[in-house]
Amino acid sequence: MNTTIRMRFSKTGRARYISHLDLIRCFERAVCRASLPAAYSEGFHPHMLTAFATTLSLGFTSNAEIMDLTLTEPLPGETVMTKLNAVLPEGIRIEEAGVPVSKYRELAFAEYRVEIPCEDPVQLAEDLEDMLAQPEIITEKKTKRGMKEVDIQPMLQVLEVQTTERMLVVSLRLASGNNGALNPSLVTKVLLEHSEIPAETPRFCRTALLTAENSKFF
Amino acid sequence: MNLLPRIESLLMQVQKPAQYIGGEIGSMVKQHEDIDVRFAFCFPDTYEIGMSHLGMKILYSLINERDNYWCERVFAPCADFEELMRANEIPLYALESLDPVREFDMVGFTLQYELSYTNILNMLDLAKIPLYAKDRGESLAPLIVAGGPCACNPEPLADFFDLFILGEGEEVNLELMDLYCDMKKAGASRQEFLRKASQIQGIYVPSFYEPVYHEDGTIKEIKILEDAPAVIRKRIVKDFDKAYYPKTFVVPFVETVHDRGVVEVLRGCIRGCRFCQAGFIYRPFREKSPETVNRQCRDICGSTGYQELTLSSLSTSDHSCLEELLTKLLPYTEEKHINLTLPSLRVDNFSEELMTKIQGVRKSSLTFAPEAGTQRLRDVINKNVTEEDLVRTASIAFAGGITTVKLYFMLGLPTETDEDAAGIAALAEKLMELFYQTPGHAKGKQPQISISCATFVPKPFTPFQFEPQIQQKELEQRQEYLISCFQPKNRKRIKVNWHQYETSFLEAVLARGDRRLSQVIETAWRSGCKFDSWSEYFHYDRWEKAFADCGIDPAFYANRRRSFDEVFPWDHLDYLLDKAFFIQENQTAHKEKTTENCRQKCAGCGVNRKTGRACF
Repeated sequence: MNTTIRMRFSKTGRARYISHLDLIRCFERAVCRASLPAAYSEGFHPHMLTAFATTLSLGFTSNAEIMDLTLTEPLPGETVMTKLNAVLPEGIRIEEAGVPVSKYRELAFAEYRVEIPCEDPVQLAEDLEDMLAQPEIITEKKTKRGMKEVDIQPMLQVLEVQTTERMLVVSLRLASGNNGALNPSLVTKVLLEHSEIPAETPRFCRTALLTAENSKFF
Repeated sequence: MNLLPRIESLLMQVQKPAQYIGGEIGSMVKQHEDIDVRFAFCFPDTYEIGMSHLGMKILYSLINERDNYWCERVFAPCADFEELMRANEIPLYALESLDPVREFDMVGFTLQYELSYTNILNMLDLAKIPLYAKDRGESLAPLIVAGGPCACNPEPLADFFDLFILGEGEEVNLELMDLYCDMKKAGASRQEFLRKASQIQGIYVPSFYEPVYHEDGTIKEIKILEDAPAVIRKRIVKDFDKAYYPKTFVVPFVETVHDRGVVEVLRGCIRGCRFCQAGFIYRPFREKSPETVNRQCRDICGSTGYQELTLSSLSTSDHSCLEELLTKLLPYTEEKHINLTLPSLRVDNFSEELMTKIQGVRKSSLTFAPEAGTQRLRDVINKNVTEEDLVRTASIAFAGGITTVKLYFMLGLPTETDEDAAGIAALAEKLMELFYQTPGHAKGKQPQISISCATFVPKPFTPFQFEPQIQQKELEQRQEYLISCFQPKNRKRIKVNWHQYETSFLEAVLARGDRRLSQVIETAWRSGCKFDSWSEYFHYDRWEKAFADCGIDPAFYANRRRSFDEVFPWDHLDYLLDKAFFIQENQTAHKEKTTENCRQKCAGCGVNRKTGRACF
């Protein structure tokens, strides 16, 4: 009997340069190295049954990635986690393993922690407030059919703003999933265009994937 | 000096950043304080090409088995990253420690193809290491070394390297590093080290040899300086079946050209195709036992998680126990969902049932390399493949539903005439007809036949080392003639490809070149040449100017017939092969006669006499 295990994993350090397609291959190889009884699809080109909740942009870190792995025999989540962690590359770690609860298509929000190193974080925080106060935030977004004007205001929620001496740290909850998704890099791009504060390249970390009811995927 | 923060600040601006940062499974990270000798293994091409190379995997693991030695990987950065590295003054670094290459003890390049030579200079420059050996001073490190197939005539690179390693590296690399380790501790100078190293079999120190030229530009003699041996003989591993083989590979994150497990099943080749350098310089022919291959396959797949596995060699179907080997291996690969591939299989060698099992359903095309269009010319080059073989193989393939056939030929082979070009067209058209005549061919589909014509490049240590390369004008006429030979209805159905002449011409110049070419390579590189094997980067006009600036006529190296008694730039390098054998084979070729393969009858190349061991 096939059983599916759901795992939450983190992607940190050098692993953030691994693209999504490369990450899938990396996990499949890890499953083989760990000698886990993976299930395969039927047909001429059988492939390992893995499924990822969503993609993570290249260069982002995360401690909230979700993947499913289907096995041909039931194994405790703890065992799968331990075996995989023994063979995964530096920067990729399974943090939790258990049974799937929600379906991936219920994904509605993703939360991010964004760090923007800059000269004047306090002023940048004010600029952010100004930006959010606008009735709409129009920007250009790259789509499959070219550049398109969008209003990101309805997809954007700021949870927390902190400043340190040289850095603005913002927690964001953004729309994610089939009903439209907003990439946090678009938010920082608009902010830095809007502001006159010189800043370095922001750093992004995904901190949660949530359903519309704010529940998690376990 | 770990460069991580500086590298990371640039990575989001480049394509496939994961190739520049290390951290792959199987990569070997050691503690600096435990290490006596650091070796930077440099592949003078990009990560995705270099990481596909088996030799690097073997030698990398071999060195790292020793606790006090540390071997790391270095590749040529792609143009986007190179530009950023130069702009931000990031020197060339190794992927395990992210330390600059110039801090290493030994920097070793693998010489896989001639058109990578400018990349070597580019990498030395990126590493901020002086290009010329004479400019690198008296200190021992960094010692710049090279090995690999093109080391059989390293003369065009002689001025850039401290030493070359001839033949197989499995044993001699460690001997060399042991000597280095001792002499480093004793505080020896580079010159003192090179003197000692030149006494190790397989180590060629070019600065101890000086060519003297005739007025016509050919070599009069190779003068030996210092106390170096008159002839440098290549190394081979004593027992191939027991030779070192890695238990794991570095598993890349980004997809590489050959991204899979590889086990080498045999080394050398029995075939003796007269154009093929690999067929001669890797002799003697040696096999691994089915047990050894099986164990190594399981080790590699188990430790890497690869789900694709290749049994590699120059001609895998020449393994004497292939059927037994596969019978042992297939249950394992099937259980583990591993896709097994065998390159260059001969269909006639074993059962169809086994064929189906190996190739599964993924095989959609048939590839065949007759190399020449007529039986006469195939006899000249000793490619012992007949039209019957081709027809039989193709019939089986067509009946099995295959519609695509790729044919590989060479143009410009010795003794070639228009008739041989016509033979290429005739062969392709015959296959076209055969498709429709074969019962059970794919219905409602047209056969796709494509022909690829490389330009023949004469190489050292082959019976054709004496031959001129075809001139551009003659080649282009023959290409045009070949096209004219196709029936009009087939001109659109049969695709014919060739590379530009200049690429093969430059390869021919460098392959049989001498030391006077070092300055040409440097001049070409300074004018912006790199990645010469990538057509989008190849600028022949710059090479042409470099030859002119250095007063060198490239045709002297490429297009000149060389007499049997001429002293060649590589004559002091001993690859266990007799020059007399090549002369005899050349004469046999011109008589349009074939030579039997090594298993049928010893052709007397010299290997068994020099090693003191029968090949079979």
